[in-house]
Amino acid sequence: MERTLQPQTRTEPELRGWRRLQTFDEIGVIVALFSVCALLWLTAGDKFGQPGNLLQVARQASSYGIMAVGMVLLLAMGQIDLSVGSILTLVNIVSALLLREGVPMPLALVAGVAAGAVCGLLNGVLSVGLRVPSIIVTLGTMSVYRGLALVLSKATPIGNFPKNNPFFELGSANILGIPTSVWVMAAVALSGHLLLAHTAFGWRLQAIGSNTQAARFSGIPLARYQIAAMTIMGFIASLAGIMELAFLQSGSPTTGQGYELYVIASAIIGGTALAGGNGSVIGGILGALLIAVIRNGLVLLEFSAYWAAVVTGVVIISAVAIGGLVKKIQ
Amino acid sequence: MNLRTISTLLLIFVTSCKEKPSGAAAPKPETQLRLGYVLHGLSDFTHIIEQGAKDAARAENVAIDVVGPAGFAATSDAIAMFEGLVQKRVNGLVVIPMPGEVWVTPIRQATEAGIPVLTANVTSTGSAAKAWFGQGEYNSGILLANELKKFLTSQNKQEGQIIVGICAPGLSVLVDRYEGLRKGMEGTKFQVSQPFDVNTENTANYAAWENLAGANPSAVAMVGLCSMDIPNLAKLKQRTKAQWVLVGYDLGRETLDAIKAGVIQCALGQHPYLQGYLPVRSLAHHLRDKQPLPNGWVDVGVEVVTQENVATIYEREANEAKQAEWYRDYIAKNFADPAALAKPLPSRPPSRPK
Repeated sequence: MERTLQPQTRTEPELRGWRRLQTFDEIGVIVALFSVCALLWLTAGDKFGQPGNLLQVARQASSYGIMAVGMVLLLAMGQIDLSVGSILTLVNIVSALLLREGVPMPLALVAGVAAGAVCGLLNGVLSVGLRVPSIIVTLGTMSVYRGLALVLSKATPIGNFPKNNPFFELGSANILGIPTSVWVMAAVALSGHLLLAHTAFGWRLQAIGSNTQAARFSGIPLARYQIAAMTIMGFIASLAGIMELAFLQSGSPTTGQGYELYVIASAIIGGTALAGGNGSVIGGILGALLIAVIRNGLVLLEFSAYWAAVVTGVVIISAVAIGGLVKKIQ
Repeated sequence: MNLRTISTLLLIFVTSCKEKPSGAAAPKPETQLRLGYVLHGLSDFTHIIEQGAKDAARAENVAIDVVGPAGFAATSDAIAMFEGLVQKRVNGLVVIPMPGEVWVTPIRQATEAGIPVLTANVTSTGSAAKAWFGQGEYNSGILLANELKKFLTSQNKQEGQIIVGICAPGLSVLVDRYEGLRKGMEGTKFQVSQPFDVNTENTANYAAWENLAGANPSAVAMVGLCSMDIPNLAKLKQRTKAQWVLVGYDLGRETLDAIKAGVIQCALGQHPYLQGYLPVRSLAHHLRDKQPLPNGWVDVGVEVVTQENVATIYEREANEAKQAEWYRDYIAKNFADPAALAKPLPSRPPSRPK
């Protein structure tokens, strides 16, 4: 019997679902995250799946997840900020020092956030003013900001200030059963998502990252946008620094060390292109969660300290590869 | 911004940032001795070493440059700083050679250039450094185990799991402490875990301990080998209302607070002030007064701090002036002549090469 080729047809609801899936940028990281979680569920048993442990993982992810939101905005316009960890440290130290000196809590926090935003602004102004790529400028300021934190703190943790106030109580508490820093991460992520995906500002950031020349010719003020995006990054890093202070109840010059790599990794694992042009804030948060899950899993599975580093790298590459494969199939 | 503006601003900035050398109250003649001290990183621990070194320089009327890389154990940066001081032709050098193995060549090059080198905190076995001012890490691990056993016994605990964290896996001083702890716990029914990586970054360190506590709910004790461990463990213990015995290293303000409050049971201090003060003084005496340098290990001792003696230590650590005053008497009583106190290198874990 002769077989005839039939064109593949889908019903209208199927097509709608398929199209939605095709535009779902985060599918890769979601599959990767679920794969790692499933693996841990099978191997680590109940310890991993306990709500307490999962909330703990979410709280741990918030440290760099908050900053991943800002990094997605920057990467989407083809820029990067290597100084985020150092800004977090500086804000952490500035606020702690002011508290130690008896400055009222709200003022100390505002000063800390302002310091972070100024650091971001300075990154942008230097990059635009000196016409130096942001990666180089922030490589330098990463060292400057960390150095300032060391100078101010004399490399010593600062914890001798009153802690019996709502800020510290809230910082280490749960609201509706969820850690405060996770709520903050969610709020920052929602704001970042709306900014990037639903405002002219966000579309222009992506347009700059997609084709700088075309963006310039279409009249987008590139310098102004770069300075604005880097200031937002500084502001978001300062929020993360304040949350660290609230949770650990002390400022430490080692806080935030090496965070830039986790933040950039979270954004890229989440589907944001290193070359710019697009970005997913939700993906960035999921990327941060994936890193935190891997760290948690290594402890639950009792990997030796030496093997843990190897396994972390292998799992991250595998997870990204799985995500990439899923997107390709998609 | 043109090139001239940038250059001028840079010059002004660099000039204004330059710190005046310590130990110099008035302009010094060209013949004044100048020493260098290279730390292995910048932390609250090394800040006390720096204080000790500067106090010694002031007391001996020598100039001193104390430098160190911002990152923890950033060896290549520290070596670059050391080589920079050699190029600067300082009269003598003190270095914290971490890890000791990679410092053999830089120390040899400095001594060949006629600059005497002493080590502090950790030693560089096989190097040309004449003396080492520090504590025996392996023995301190045994001492910590003995203290831990005392506290566990006082809580009627005869068996159970002891969780150990290491903030920089593979770092020989920390591995020595761990091996000492294991040795000290031999012959008991307690199981000492492998050393889990708990990271040097403060928040990641807390998170790692949090994960370890969740994974080992029946643990009877937690042992931190680095200075940031026990303050974080103390916060975790208070938040989770855990009952573990907590012991560890170093005497930061938060650690002393937590010992006072009974959250941490014991911490070992390494007398960082002495690690700064004594080698600088020895170099000054050697270079100026031709006194012999100590040859071997000058044991600065291990300080066991518990709730019983924390008040004294708290008072000493209250500020730099009180610290200097306390150590002035202590040094006069115990370290009048370090050269006479020098002894062969301490025992190391049997598993590690000599």
